[in-house]
Formats: sequence, structure tokens, C-alpha cells
Amino acid sequence: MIDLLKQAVAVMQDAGAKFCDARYQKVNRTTIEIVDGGVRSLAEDLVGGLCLRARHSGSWGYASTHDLDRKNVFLAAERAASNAKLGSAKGVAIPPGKTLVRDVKAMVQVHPSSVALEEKLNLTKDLEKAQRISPQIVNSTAAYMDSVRTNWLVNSFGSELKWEEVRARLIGQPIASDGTRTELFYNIVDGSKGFEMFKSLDIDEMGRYCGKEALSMLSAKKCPSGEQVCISDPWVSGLLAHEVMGHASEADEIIKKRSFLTTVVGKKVASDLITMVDDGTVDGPYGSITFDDEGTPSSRTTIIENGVYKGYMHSLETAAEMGVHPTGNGRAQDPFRRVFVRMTNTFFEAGDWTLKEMLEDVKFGVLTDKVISGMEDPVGGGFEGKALRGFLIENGKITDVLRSFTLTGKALEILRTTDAVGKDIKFAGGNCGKGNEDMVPVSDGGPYCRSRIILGGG
Amino acid sequence: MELDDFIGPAVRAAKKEGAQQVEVYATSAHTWSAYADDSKVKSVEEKKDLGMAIRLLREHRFGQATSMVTSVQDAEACARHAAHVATLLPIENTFKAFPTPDKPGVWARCSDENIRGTENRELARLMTAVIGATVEPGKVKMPNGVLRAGHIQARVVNTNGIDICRDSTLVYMRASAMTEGANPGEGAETFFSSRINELDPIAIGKRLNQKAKSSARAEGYKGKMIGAVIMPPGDLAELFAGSVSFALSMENINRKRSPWSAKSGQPVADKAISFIDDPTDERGVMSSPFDDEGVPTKRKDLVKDGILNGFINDAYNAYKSEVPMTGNGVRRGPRELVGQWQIPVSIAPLNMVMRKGDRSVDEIVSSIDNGILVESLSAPDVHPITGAFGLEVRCGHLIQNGSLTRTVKHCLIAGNMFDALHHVRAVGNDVIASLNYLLPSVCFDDLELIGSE
Repeated sequence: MIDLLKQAVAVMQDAGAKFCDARYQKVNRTTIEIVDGGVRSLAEDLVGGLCLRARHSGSWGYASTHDLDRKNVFLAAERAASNAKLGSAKGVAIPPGKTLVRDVKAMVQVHPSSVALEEKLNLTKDLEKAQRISPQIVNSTAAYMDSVRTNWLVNSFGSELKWEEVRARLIGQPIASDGTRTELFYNIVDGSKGFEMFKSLDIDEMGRYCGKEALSMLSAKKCPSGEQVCISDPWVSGLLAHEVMGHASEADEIIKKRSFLTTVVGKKVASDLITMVDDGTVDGPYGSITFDDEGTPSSRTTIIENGVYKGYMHSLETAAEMGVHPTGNGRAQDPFRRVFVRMTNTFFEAGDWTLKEMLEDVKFGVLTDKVISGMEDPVGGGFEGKALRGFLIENGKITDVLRSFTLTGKALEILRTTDAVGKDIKFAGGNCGKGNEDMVPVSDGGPYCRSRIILGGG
Repeated sequence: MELDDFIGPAVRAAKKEGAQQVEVYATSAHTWSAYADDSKVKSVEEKKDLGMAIRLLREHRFGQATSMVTSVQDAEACARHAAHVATLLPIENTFKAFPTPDKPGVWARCSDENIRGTENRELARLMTAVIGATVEPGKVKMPNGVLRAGHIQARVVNTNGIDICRDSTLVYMRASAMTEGANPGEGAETFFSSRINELDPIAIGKRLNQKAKSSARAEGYKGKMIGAVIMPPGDLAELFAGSVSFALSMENINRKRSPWSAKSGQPVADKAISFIDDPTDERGVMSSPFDDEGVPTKRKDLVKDGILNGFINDAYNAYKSEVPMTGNGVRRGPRELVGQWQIPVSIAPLNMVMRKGDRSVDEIVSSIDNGILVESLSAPDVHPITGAFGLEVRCGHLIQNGSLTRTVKHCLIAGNMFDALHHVRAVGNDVIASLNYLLPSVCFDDLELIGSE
């Protein structure tokens, strides 16, 4: 494979590309879904392909195919080089980078390929069954996914890389109904690890917890609307880190001045308690990577340190434009999608509060629990996140369960009001789409954080 | 390699592994995209994709697998994977047979010969034209945009005699424009069609320019009110996809997740609301005479004058519910043709048409004492189980006594879609295609608007 990619790079160079790369990716994926005691789906998939990318002036040309016939690969390489010439963007040249020659296996204890499909199936069945703790659990679903992604990359720096990424995920999701109301709950265990993540799990406990919490949602009340004292749980904290501060710190948005953080390096943007990073080297979370999809080793980027804004995440292109080193954030969904600046694991660092201490100070407020969705707003800096549920806080005590609601407000105003940051960080994995396409595996997270946020829900 | 080269060998390989029934869904797609970045054409790409999904019944056990296809051996290996999966599963009591051939529905012409001959140069030219119509130097720029065109050949073959081939084309565009300087505003436009000549780059650019300027005027909303809310068609398509389509899906009926489970024949919306899944309408980008299991499609009145008339299903859920198949088992999406073979069968409307009203948005505005005309939402989604929503307004225009007053942002519209459908003040006449929907603006009464204190 490496030889074929080297020859494709040579074709693109011969066609005038100053910088180019050739990337092949193969993904073996297993997916299982168990619904109400039956196997709804069990599939083994092989996906992947070849991506050839060439740069001309400030524009990129791409050609992607499954076809590995040498003649067609070279034809695609020529097309990538000619496509680059159709662009009108001007830009600086990508400076020569280090030549890297590596072959890296994923650091996992129990590789998914070593686990029999029966064992994965039984794990998923057990999780589904354990959720059915009451007749009011009217639907129970468990889903398992693992993927082994093998990447080969050659670029015009002379790098020759092969690396493996392993991810796995287990989800329990029951639906509870009392005949008049219907609510859902979920719990997820995921990461860039192998099957060992599930070996140590008490599956029965995980399933029963999901079922119990789904039932508790049937009596959930409407969230108080308006600006409230809000303790965001690690997942909602992570959503704020990712959607607003993270997306707005991607350097492609900075270069085109589409970010509200364009001119704030060195300025105080948040409470002293806030430190935020993007770190693809963390061992375990879903967004961890060895190299990005340009072959740059993953790294840790400090975005906010003690409330002061520090810097941005970069691809090769944005690093060249801004005269800095790439940070390993040039990522693509797959070989059929373009590479641009994307996050990895984005999170707030821990503080020194316990949740109990945070609750004690609150006369009236809301504690969030889990995320449904969120959306970026790099231009306006607005936060929009949907919590699965919450808890009403009155006089330092949790008094009620709250049904799903939305959190909004200006992110910097929220972070300036942060007066307590918890001790423990947790991560939640997912797939991030920048705009509404180009999904890449990421995680976000953080500790419990107490701020003032606008809340509302139906 | 062509579809014909590997479908037969895959079926034969599955049979050799003991499969009694086999279905292969295979696609060959070719797409071109031009990406705009900072008011320039930044990336131009070309993608060719070939792959298959196989499903089989082996000794009454169900197996499935998908694979990209670079050789006949890939297709045969995919069949063997599916056969192996089947050995692990219990006897399938629901899905006992793949669909059998039936007469096609009306053939909607969703294929444009002009796209087959399209070159990247033409897409780059069109994107340049959109940029030209959007940009005002020093005032408005275009930070992002994608224009994609392509064609796909999708074939469904099963051992019960189905052999369907669908050739279709797709044009998709999404772009944003923003004002320059302090406190910028940003607006976005999308375009969905099967025909490239319907794309008017100048009109799209002008709308983008106006949306950016409008958004820049928006101020943070303070306070709370209950009032009428006019939702624009583009955002409504996403809201309805997460609520109406969810509620109409037989999968969700069978999983007891649909709020409309026991409401057949009953009112689920105001009488001004009618939803028709119409795969015969050429304006729908997913319209076609067969679904992706080879089942004929047809026009279906799902909600008529507010009354729930029926649900949509795929083969599995039709068997499970013991009802006729509706032809809504799909593996395709409205934005991208590449990779459709990777998408598992799910239930979706092929072209959900909402019956339009007879009033323009301006006329609806003039009838409202207190409310908001939404121009764009941050993330138009609804909690599918409960219907609850809290939607952040990126740009909206407050309405007082029949006139637009201030432009606002950073506020939430809170409510419940399944309740809101019963409180429709008016349906507009401004129909557009968005995702797999054709729909106009809708005005809902009595929703909550929440701003900062």
C-alpha cells in the first residue's frame, strides 16, 4: 500500500502540486442493536477508500475512490492535481515538515478483532435485558459498536505512516411510559479502547440504572425558564467547551475572522477558574488519535488558561498561514471527505470543588444531567445545548427531577459567571459535524461547573 | 468495475454458504463538490464510490453485512460475513421473506442528464457566481459554502425476483454569509434539487447577503413573552423530521416510542395541517417509484386536515405489524450520494409534502398582535419522544400589532411540537424543498419566548 501511495504522490508532484498527500483508510466495524429482547441488527462492515489531495496556491484538489487499480489511482492523482487548479484561494505555501516513518498499533488490551462476535452479542443482549425492570419500561434498546480503523499516509514531506485507531461504544436506552407520558434515558460507555472497557463493567447494574432513571423521568417537571444558577454536569460542561469555545478556536475560523475569539489571545475571557484544552493524546477518550489525517502527531493545545485566552487548534494549512506549528487537528470524516481543522478531546480542566459543596450554596437553581444535542456558533459566541434532564435545586438540596430543556446565552458571559469548578473530569464521546456534515469522532468533557445560564424547555 | 460485475457473484456466494433468500443493495456514485472558504473557491473534489449491502436468510436466521467493493472477491467476502452473522442469531420470527416484485409507482424524473456531463469546472463556476452575488467588499463575505452535484446508480436485487435499478441525480448547496466588522451577523441558505438548472446562483447570493445583514441587526432579547411564532420552511423541515416523521414511523410504533401510537383516525394537528408522502413529485430529491428494498412507492395521505390517516413502514415493520408495505424502507439521504450502501434500512418519508396555505408570510405577520418571525434557528431539533423543544433563535423579527419591530437573537422558543401542531394560526404559501420535505412557513400560536433578564 505504501508503495502505491508513494507513486500517487509522485504523480501529483509531477502534475505541479507543491504539497500533496495520499491516504488510504480501511475500517472494520461491528454493530449490534438489541430491541425488546430481539436482535434488530447485527452487521459486520468493511468501509474505506483512497483519498488523494493536492495543493495549488491556496486551493486544494481532491480525488477519492475505492478503486486501487494502479492505472486508476494515477488517473485520480492527476485529477486531484487538476482540481486544485480550479480553486481561486490564495495562500502561503505549506513549509517543509518533518519526515516521519512510523507504524503504530492501537494501545488496547483486548483488541475487538480478538473477541468473538458471540461475546459482543451476549454483552449487548445482557444490557438490553437488564433495563426491563418494570412493566412501565415499554421499550428497551442496547447498542454495541466497535471499529478498527487502519490508516496509511504518504505525503510530499516524505512521511510514510501507518497507524491504527480502535473505538468501541455500548449504549443502553430504555423508554418508560405510564400511559400518559413517555420519557427516555440513556447511558453510554465509550472510548478509544478495546473490549477491556466492557470487561470491567457491571452490565446488570448499568442496565438497571438506565431503567430506574427512565422511570424517574415520568414524574419530571418542567424546567424553570429564564436565567438561573446552573450547575452543568461534566457532559453539559463539555458541550459548552466543544460547541462554542472549541469550534471558535479552530484556526480556519480565526483566519477568515468567523470567530468571536479572533482577537482575544492574551485577553481575559473567563473566570480565573476556567482552563480549557484540546488534547488528542489523552489515553482513553473517544476523540484520541495518534496522528491527524495529515500525518501530524496529535498534541495538547491549551485554549484558555486560568481565564486567559491562549491559542488555537491548527491543521498544516492554518499553521502555515499563521506561522506556527501544526497541532494535529487536520481531520477528515473518511477518505471521501476533505481535511480541515477539527477538535479531538476538548474539555475544561478540573478545579477543587465537590458537587456537594457546589449545591450547598445554591438557593434556587438547576443541575443538568446528560446531553441530547448542541450546536456551534463561532460567529456570535452563543451557546445552545439541550440537556436530557436536570434536577431542581432549592436551598442547597435537590428537590425535583426536570425534563429535557435547553441552555443558551453568550458563552463568554456564562464563563465569566463561573464561580465553582469540580474536582473530577469525565468525557463523553460522539461524532462532531462542522456545519452539518463531515463527522469526526471526538469527545468533550470537564467537571461540574456552576454558572448563570438561560434555561427553557417545553 | 460495474454493479453487474459483482451482484451476481455475491448472491451466488451467499447461496453457497447456505442462504435460502438473499438481497443485495449496491450503489455506484460519482459526485463533484466545490467548497467556498472566505469568499474564494477553496477545495474542489471528485469522488467515485462503489459498495454493497447484503441481507440474507439462512435456515430462517437473518444476517447482514456491508462492504466497499474493489473486486468480486470483496463482494463474495461480504456475502460470507453475512452468512456467518446469521449463524449467531436465533430463528427470525418477524422477517421471514424479502419483498416480492410488484408494479412500480409513478416514475418521478429525478435524474438530470446535465449533471452526468458536469465537470468540476462548472461547479467551480457556479460557486464563484454565488460568491459574486453574496459578497460586498468590506461589508459582506462568504465564509463557508459547499455545492455538490452527482449521480448514482442504485440496484436492489433479491432472490424473490426483485431487480430494480434507480438512476438519479442530486444537487445540494449550503452556504453562509456574514457581515464584516464588529458584531457580525451570519445567515445561511440551503438548496436541494435533482436538477442543476434550477440552481439560481445570483438569487441565492442575494438572499445570503440580505440574511447576513439582517442577522447583524439582531440584538439580544431580554424578558419573556407568550406569542405567535412563524417558523421558516428550512428549519421546519428539520423540526418535522425529528417529530412528525418520527411519530409516523412504524418502527417507533412497534417500539412504543411514537406519541401517535394509538391515534389513528384521531386529530393530531389543526385542520389546516395535511402531510402527504408523495414520491411521485419531481421536486422531491428522494422521490422514486421504488424504495431501497424494491417495494413500490405510492402517494399517501398521512395526516389529512389534521386527522392521522396512516403510518409508513419498511418490510420488517410491515411484517411485524401485519400490514401492507408502504415503500418507505430507505438507505438514502438528501445531501450526499456517496456511501449510501453503508446506510442501514430505516423508515423515512421519500418526499413529505405539507399542504400549503393561501397566505403569504407578510399577510400572516399582519394578523399577529404579539409574536416573532423566525429567520433562523441555531439547531432546529425536537425531543422525538416527548416533542418538547427549546430552540435558540439566531435571528428573528419581533412582531407587534401586525408589524415587524426589532430584530433579535440569543433567546429561546420553548414549547412542544405535538401540542403546537394543534395550535396553528396559519400555513404559508411559500413552499420550498428542504431535506426530504416540501413545505411552507407555519405560524404557531402561544409559544414561549425566553430571553436574558
